Amino acid sequence: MNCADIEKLILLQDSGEISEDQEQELITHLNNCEICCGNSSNLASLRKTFTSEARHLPEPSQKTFTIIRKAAKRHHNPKARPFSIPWPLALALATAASLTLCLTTLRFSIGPSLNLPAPIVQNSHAIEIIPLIAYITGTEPVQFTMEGDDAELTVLANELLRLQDMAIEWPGDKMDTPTLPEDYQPTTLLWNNIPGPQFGRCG
Amino acid sequence: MHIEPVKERSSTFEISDEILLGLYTKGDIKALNELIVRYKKPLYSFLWRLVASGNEVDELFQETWLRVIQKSESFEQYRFKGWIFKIAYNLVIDWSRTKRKNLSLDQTSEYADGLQTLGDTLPATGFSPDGQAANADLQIEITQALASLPVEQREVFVMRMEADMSFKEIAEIQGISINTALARMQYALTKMRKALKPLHENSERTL
Repeated sequence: MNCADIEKLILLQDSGEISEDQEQELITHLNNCEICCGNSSNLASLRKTFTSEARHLPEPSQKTFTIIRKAAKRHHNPKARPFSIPWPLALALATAASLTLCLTTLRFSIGPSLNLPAPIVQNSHAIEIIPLIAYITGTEPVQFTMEGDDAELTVLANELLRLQDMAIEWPGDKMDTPTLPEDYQPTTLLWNNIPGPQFGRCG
Repeated sequence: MHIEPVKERSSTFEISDEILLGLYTKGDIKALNELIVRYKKPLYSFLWRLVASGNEVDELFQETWLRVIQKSESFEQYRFKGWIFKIAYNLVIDWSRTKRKNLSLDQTSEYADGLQTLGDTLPATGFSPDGQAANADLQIEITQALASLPVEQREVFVMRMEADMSFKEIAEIQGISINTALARMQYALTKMRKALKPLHENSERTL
């Protein structure tokens, strides 16, 4: 084995990867070769120089350590959020939002009569048109809200009457009750369930 | 009857890196802190030798640990040390591809042209204040000697001398045989000895 091969064994011994046979061969060679013996001690010297110099190299900044440690914690607690809302407050907010949504929707819808604040009728004809619509459309007792100007409501009423083949015209401009056919008899149930005063409030 | 207090075993028994990582994967943050303490110096020095820019070394150091954290559950390597240095090495390679101009690995030709020395590019924070006077020459000599090595040889040299990695691990990381890794180290050693010879002679004279 030549000196170049022996140097590889010196390196393997330094890294702790040398086998017993190789080590025996290395020891035998070093006892008889000054060059390789010098190389072996030179490697140790170079390592010492390198280690000594490395002690004076800079170190990572504290900011870097902080970022790493935060990431380490977050990795084991991924659900944690920096701006999380406590659960009682979250529940209260969700309830408030649901109620607001329900009330807003119901106020402008047709549905079962509820003990809700009276809808605002913005048109004077509404008090007369509503029972008519309910009658013509055969709607169950319900609570209506209506918005629009007189002309629009008159058109609507006429259209409904036309669809029902009723040969009458809605006298919207006079704000009078139309002359209904003889068989026009709103059911008691219908009238009883339309809270008159609340519709007349804006009339 | 006098009874001697039982000595704490922690003073003589050190938990292995692999067990510490396992403890961290089960939620023990302190285990990871211990690993960071153990590897902060060798890992940072390793990156410092390959990347001649303080801020970027910090970024690479940070990114290495973030990868360790992300991949901690999938760790199946035999040795943690080989694993973490492999992550760091791959990050340096990726980084060098995107920022070639700033990487010392690829600046050999510039130095050869005499445009600037690697010492010129080193940040002023390269020396701690107390060791500045005593180690300034040594650090410049080593840095320049390393810069004069071909990239592959320098990487092997730094992995072995700074990270204390085995040749088996180095060969695995570089995708070469152990014999090739040994040969690269031999070439690197010959050049480093030659480059640092005047420094050694001076230090021997002063001793």
